[in-house]
Amino acid sequence: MNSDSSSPHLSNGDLAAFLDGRLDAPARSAVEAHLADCARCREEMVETQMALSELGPSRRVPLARPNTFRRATWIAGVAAAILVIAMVPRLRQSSLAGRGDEARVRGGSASSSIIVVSPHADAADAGHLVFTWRSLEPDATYRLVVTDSVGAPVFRTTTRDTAVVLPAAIPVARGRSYFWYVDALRRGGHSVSTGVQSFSVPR
Amino acid sequence: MADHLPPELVRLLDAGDDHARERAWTEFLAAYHRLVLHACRSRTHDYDGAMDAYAYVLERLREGNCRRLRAYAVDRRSAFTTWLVVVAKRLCIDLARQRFGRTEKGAADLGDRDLSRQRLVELTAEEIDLGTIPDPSEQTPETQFDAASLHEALHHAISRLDPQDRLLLALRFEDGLTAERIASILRLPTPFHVYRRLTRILGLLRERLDRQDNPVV
Repeated sequence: MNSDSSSPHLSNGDLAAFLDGRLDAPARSAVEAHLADCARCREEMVETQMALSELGPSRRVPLARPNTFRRATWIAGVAAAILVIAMVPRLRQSSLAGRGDEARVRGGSASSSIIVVSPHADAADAGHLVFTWRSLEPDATYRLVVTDSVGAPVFRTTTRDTAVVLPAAIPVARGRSYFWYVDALRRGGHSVSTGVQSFSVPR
Repeated sequence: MADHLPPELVRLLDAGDDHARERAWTEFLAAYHRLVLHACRSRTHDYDGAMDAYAYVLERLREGNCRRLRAYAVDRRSAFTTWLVVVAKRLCIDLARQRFGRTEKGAADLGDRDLSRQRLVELTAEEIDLGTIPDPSEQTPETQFDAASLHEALHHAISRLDPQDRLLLALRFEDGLTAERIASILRLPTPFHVYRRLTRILGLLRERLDRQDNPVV
């Protein structure tokens, strides 16, 4: 068994090889013996195996899947969003309108995913970042999350609009990459997503 | 046989300077963020908690000049995707343990585990000698001693089983997993194979316990 020398538990390599069925008989037996006695490793193995089995052998994550999170979370999010929307300066909204109607696409037909309009992956304007996407259906509620390059959230908001201007107070560094996605709550209680998008701010 | 390293991982590990590393990390995330996000979201109902876990996993993957990812480059006994889900899921569980002392699932299952363990004792003891089964309603020193003796004998008998049989018992009676889930983990063809094997193991345990009670002179 190839456990880390500093840890009494199975190494990530041992567990992954066990789950892939790649261990020879003695190594497999050693891993099984450890799992039988170690509730901690067994819990990690079972949880991982469940996550893998949801993906199937291709290990491909579906682009859009029904959201399994509780509706209550969304309701709390919408309530928070009402406060956020009220606080976003009207000035920002009017400046967005001034950029042209192409930034506020509305009235799209219901579909299984959200189509992204902007920002483009490599042409984001650090001084004026606008996130826009096509409408999924009337009255849908959207949740935008922007993260830095390591996935730490830098901005979250919920809106019924299809465009959000990044507030000036949110720092966006030149030469850095960021990720963002929009989840939409549909009337049936399910949600769909843009999937994680990225953009870089030129130096 | 060692798996090939994915090109995004090779570029990330070979990146010579900060700029190249940043670019390679972006490429790596573009290829694998869905998988990591799936691992963080799997089996949780807490949206914000899952996103916090996602951020935590990415930080840990990147720390120490990607030392965890470098460990895969040395090991390579599994598919990279399997390894990545293992690492992400273990980090999520670690985070939950740090924050709450135990995982969401672990907290819910504590009561079930006690019941499952008791069920194992009953299953192995039920055909040995009805007169020796302790009656839980009679908490006398004698019944307590009998119960402790039975647990000790059972523990000893289980320790002599082969590792896969011990694991099967743990998954069934400690963790309370379904036969279908156990079949999937142990790569048995159907849940019926699990039931058949359980019957054989329990029979073996009863036989051993019986032999302890009535040793051949």
